[in-house]
Amino acid sequence: MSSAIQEKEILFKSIDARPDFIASSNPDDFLVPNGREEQWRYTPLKRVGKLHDDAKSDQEINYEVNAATGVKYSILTKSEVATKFLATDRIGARTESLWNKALVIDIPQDFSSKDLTWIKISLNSGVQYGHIIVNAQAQSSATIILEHVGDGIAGVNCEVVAHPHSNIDFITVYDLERKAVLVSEHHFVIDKDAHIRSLVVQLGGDVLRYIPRAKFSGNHGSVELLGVFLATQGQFFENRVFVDHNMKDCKSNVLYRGGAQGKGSHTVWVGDVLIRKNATGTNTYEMNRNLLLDDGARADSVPNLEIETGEVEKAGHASVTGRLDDDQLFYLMSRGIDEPTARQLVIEGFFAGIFGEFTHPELKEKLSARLNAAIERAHQ
Amino acid sequence: MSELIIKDLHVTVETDDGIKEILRGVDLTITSGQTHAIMGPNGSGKSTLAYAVAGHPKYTIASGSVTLDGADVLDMKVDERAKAGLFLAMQYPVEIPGVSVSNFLRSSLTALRGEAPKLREWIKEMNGAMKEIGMDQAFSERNVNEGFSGGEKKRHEILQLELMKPKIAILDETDSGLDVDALRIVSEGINRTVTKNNTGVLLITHYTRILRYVKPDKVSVFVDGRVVATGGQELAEELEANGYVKFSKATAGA
Repeated sequence: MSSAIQEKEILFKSIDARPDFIASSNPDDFLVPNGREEQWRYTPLKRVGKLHDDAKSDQEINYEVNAATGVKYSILTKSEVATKFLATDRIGARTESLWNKALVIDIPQDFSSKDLTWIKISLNSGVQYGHIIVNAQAQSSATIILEHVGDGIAGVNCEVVAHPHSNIDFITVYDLERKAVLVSEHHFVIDKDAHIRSLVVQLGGDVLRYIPRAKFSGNHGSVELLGVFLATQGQFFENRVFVDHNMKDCKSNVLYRGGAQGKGSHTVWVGDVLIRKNATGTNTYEMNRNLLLDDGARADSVPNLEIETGEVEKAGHASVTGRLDDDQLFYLMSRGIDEPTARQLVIEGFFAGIFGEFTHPELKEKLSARLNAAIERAHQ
Repeated sequence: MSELIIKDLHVTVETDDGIKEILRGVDLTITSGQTHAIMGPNGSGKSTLAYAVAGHPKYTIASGSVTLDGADVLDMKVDERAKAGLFLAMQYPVEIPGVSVSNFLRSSLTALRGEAPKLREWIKEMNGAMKEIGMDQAFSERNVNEGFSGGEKKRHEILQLELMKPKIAILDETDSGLDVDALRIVSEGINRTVTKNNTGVLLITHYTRILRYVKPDKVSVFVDGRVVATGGQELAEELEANGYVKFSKATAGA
């Protein structure tokens, strides 16, 4: 295992070579944010349980793993893990310095199985920090679900490394209790001809801040960063996506669909794709679509695309925020469907496509059931 | 035997230039098992009539009444009108991304019948109706109207008409944008609905073409927001020969 982790160290070294970002695992490299910084301008810092400031860990992080046969995992202490995760903000760096136990998942070379590997983090009331490493060896293929439940305050970072020709589906679900706070930075590293398809589903919690960052460590890699979020009354869900195209002929597709309903519901999506000078032949598209379900809801959507090379195959970005379409509701209601059911159908339909990408029937069913339950909750 | 009675209906719509009256006193009666064709030039308010009766929020009822077997339709919500037995086949059916035809139809029939159709019987019923209208079964898994051709959208409307068996159906330019074969198939669907389900049909059209396949019991000419003449099939033939000029002049002079 240690050899794989050393390899990974090299991969992460330059994940934030941009001058406007600091990347570090030392919290002291970051000032305590006051909310006026670009990175923090939307986050309600008063509600993050001092994760950004000085919240000490008073709870053990609780990992439950139900692994597919053949997938190895271990829970290790800091001295046993040689990670060099470079976080991009103070909460990420504090999480790095404060976690005591990491979950390390190893997907062996050539591994392939239809079975899911299910990781469940049940937050305890109080403050906890965690770190997860997923190492997908060459030519492996697996589906991993990282699910967060419970009530508490947590910082959990994660790194997923896809070695050459591996193919990983990685699904992160936040279905926490109403008062929970969870801040996560996820790093995805995609090697030659490897593919990561990541999906984040944000349904429950008080404040969720999720920072997925993808970069390539070989040519011809591809990554999909998909997301679904639905914030209801008072909930704050934030996503800050960064894709670093630093290799040739790589592909990325970022697609987030979100909804907000109720007074004080607020979603934030910031998408940032950087195509570096040497990343010729890049094919990238990022898109965020939001549905505002009433007048109390707010969505901020900021797509960015920076291109430093002239030889791009395709690059696009888009953002659309709208309301429920009166004509769609009228069409359904004119067929006898009452208004709440019509709204539910249209909202379910708005999100439906994103699960369509996933072929595992059990997974698809569970995700749809969770989302539909959240949509129903939103109507109450 | 059902009757939809529209009396002195005035409807307005909000435009950039203020409130505009589109319907100026419409009187019409639609009866079970009868087909009543409404013909009129573009912009005469035919579609407004259809949408106002179905309850689209864009249109405001200024005055007048619409009753179905004595019940006040204008007092009902959109879904309640459907449950009371009204159906509107739309000229431009709306796309609903992510909602499959089969899910949509089942939700609708569950609402209209008060209970979910039993799964096995339902599939049989839906596939049977799709076959009659010449729709491939694969359609049931596609999203409602999404990526449908003009003809496919109209067939889908008639499929709903046949499954929902309304007392009264308003068909808003169902014939527009159809080629000859599709027009024949759609017309056969309308005729089946009238004979099998005893549905009363208000057939709104711009052209006489569909009247070769669907024989109306009555024809009314609609100009400038109201009915200006009513007759039989011969009125349609006259329109075919001379157009709306005579009726437009009549209104202009009135």
